[in-house]
Amino acid sequence: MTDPAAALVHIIGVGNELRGDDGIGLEAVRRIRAAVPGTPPEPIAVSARCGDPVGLIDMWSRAPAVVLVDAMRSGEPPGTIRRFDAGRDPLPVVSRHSGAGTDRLPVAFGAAASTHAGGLEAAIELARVLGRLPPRLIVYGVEGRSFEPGMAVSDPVRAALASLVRQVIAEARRLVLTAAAVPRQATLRRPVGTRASRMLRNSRVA
Amino acid sequence: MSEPESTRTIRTDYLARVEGEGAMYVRVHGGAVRDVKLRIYEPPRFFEAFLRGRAFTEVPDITARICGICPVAYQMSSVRAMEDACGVVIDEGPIRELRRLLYCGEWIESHSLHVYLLHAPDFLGYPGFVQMARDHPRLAEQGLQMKKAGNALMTLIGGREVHPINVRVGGFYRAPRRSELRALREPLQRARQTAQETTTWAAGLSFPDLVAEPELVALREPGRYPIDAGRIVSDRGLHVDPRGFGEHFVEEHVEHSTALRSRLRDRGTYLTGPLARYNLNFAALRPAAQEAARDAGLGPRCDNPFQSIIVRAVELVQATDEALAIIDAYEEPDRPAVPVTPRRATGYGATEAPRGLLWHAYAIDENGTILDARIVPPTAQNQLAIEEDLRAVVQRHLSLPDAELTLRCEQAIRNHDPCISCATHFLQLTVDRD
Repeated sequence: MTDPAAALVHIIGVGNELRGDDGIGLEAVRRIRAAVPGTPPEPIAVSARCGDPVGLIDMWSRAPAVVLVDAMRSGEPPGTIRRFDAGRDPLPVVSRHSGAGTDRLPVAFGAAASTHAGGLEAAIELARVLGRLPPRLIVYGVEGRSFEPGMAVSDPVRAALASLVRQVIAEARRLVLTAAAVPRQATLRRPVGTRASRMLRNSRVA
Repeated sequence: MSEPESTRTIRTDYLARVEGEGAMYVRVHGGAVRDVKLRIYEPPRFFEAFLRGRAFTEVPDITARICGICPVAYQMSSVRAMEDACGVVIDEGPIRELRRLLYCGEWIESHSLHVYLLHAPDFLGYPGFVQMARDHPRLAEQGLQMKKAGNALMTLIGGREVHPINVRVGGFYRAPRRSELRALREPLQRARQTAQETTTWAAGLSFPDLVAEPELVALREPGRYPIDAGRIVSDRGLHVDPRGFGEHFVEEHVEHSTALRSRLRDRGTYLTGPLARYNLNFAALRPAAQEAARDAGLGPRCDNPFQSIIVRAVELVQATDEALAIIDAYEEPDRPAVPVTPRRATGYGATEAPRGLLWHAYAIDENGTILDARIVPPTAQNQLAIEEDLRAVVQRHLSLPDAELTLRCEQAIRNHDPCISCATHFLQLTVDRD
């Protein structure tokens, strides 16, 4: 398995497999692991994350491009897959501390983990403020139906799994190809460009 | 702003997507607080049922999933209870030390998240840590750096950052090498330094007046600050083995909460967590932690729940300093676990989760199949005490405008770092006038 510190792209599944559809991100990375060899020449690392989202900041500081996969609730039919360029724009989540009448979230990520330290979007915005976002950060959200404890991933959400896995792997491979162009817009403090370019040259993915 | 004779309702409804996970309701009428209800999210109830019929060896892996912030607490209370049932005692030696070390990692992770990112914004006047980090990036970076040091301990001893998989009944699947542990000394030394600075910083914050009235309950063990073992004691004379928990503590169901609230039989409300631990065990703090407390102007007793942020900082000094001491003295065990043979019995385990006492009891049969499980988490135990704090805070600050009063209520809830810390960010206030 590729070490995230040596990867060009780090795919991270987020969720809790004991909370129904919140397990979809973890299920996705299990499938992705099987599909992506994760050894050179494939400079893609795959990880799972449950618990407080703030911890993601350390995880994603290791690679120049990161793809997060998480469950979401946005009112779309269960199983709907949405892609967000979170490195470019904040996730479309209304401030959680907004005034009366505006506390509806167009999109909410995850389930129980968010009761502790804010959701995925808070971790992303904290990293943005501190200059600790990876140069590229893409979030794939999968519309969940039920987040009840003890339930399995529901059928309509599971039905989206194959397409989700295909899209995330395609995204990761695109990011590998464009990683060399990253330094121009890099927000990461350390000079990733040199390493990224060198690794890209050494990899045969292209 | 409301007049004294009007009815004010302060209510927080957690988002519909996580119904019932945590909510607060306060009603004020005629210048007096009439009603305070805290509704909390409590996953252990589901797990108790889920555990029945499973093998006794599965408890640490299953209960670790109850909480993403304090999985080690659930693991440690569960393995202690199973070992108690099976007649095995691990009270000294490298396995015990490794358990404490792992637990220190969790305290460091959980407390630093709470002190720097969840509680600090309340004191500095920000709605959340993202806004705070814009003006105080160093504070947020310190939080992340401390968390990382805790993560490193969790990853090495627990096998991964969250939901450790290396803990088993009887010990561990694999014990770390001395050299692996020594690599953690440098980040832990930096974390200890940061914790000391943070204690001083926290002491300089401004604290609303509030005195904790409930009986304080924590573990106590001779010569050691309570983390992973001890007897259950209180500041009003309670002194029982975890086995006696059920005789002295009762759980009651209340309509407004899916959780069971705990109270001391014939005595009432009690409080567990950092304030209780500190007040009942100041003498057992390591010298570095006592010194940090003294430098912060904190005596051996702290009765203001708002000052729990200082006590947590002191406990961060304690946890980092103790982790370093354990690493320095560590001898690799001959084997990472002792054998544990099941027998038909009931076992009890209590440890100190970062947010308070966590008690487990399991009945197993001679094959080790779990017949019954009971888990009493700290937030359910603190529910009444938090409601009492809210009552006092609202009564004292009735003259504040609604928005400020709401924030003060949120801050008062976060004093106890309940598993709904964030839920209270969704506070929505409505004012009804008669």
